[in-house]
Amino acid sequence: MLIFITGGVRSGKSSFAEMSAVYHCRQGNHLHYVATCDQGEAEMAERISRHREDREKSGYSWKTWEQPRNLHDLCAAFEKEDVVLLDCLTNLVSNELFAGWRDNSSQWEEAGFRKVVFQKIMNGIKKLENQCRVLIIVSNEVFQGFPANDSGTFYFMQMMGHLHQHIVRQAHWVYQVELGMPILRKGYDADGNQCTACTV
Amino acid sequence: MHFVTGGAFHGKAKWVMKTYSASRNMEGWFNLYEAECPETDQFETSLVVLEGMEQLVKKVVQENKKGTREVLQKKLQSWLEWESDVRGRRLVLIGTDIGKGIVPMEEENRRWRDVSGWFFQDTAMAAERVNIVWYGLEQTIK
Repeated sequence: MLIFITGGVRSGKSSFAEMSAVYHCRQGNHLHYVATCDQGEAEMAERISRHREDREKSGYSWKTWEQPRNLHDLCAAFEKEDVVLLDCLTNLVSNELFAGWRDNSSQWEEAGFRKVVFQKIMNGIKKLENQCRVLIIVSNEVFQGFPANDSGTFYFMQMMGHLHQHIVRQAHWVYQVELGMPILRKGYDADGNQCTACTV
Repeated sequence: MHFVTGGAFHGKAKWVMKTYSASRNMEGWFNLYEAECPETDQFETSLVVLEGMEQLVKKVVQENKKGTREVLQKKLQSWLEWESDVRGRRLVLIGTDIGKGIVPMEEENRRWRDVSGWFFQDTAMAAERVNIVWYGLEQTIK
């Protein structure tokens, strides 16, 4: 099962995602947390430790994986009945798309490279989803502002938009979190029929 | 008139193509990123799609220091008249919402953003049907 959760920064999407993961995890199965940010950045270190403390306080035991890129490498780590929370897609995309920027490489300018990155991420998600019982993906809303005027930002937004569209299509449940409250965008009614924002 | 809006890269045009069995290459589909907004006498098909409303706003803002909202309201009026002139005509407007980010630094961009917001309100008011597309999922708000 694939669950997709998006929201703005500080919207409470991570907390909701963690709650969902705990809800879906059955006794005897494992909870996995896949962190995607590059540990190297000092700014992120504090947020990482805060999120980690929150998870410890929750009373459930999480296994944390640091995976800033190459999602598919993780597949072997999970068992069929496990619940996996990926937080968040935004960092993964930025790490994959801008890989090598420190060496002045700007591969993201090439359509061919962007296509490869897109496929790589979608394949990684598919593999993870097949490998566990529930995969929860958390992502950010980064599209509601003014058009980007530098190519890096433009291609990043384009890639995020296309990924979100694809993931929403494949996901069983989709939530948008606003002010800590989840809004159901896609899911199932009591009879098990698929419904979207216009019908729920 | 049918107004379709939402954030950038949310699949708005894709949704319109699916809903109207239309294609970007068809006659009557105008991409305002590539060409100027045509006048209604250039509409030759019963289904006309104008993609990139925010580009029309940008141009109007660049060309007019004042009265931008009124210029755009006249446009709306002409579109409504075109539609009601002949039964079965349908105009679909696609506009990217650019109003939910940080305030732009440049004065002209702030005006572009403001006028887009007002114009989109006027458009929604005039339209018979309004949809917001969110990553391919539609929400009917009118």
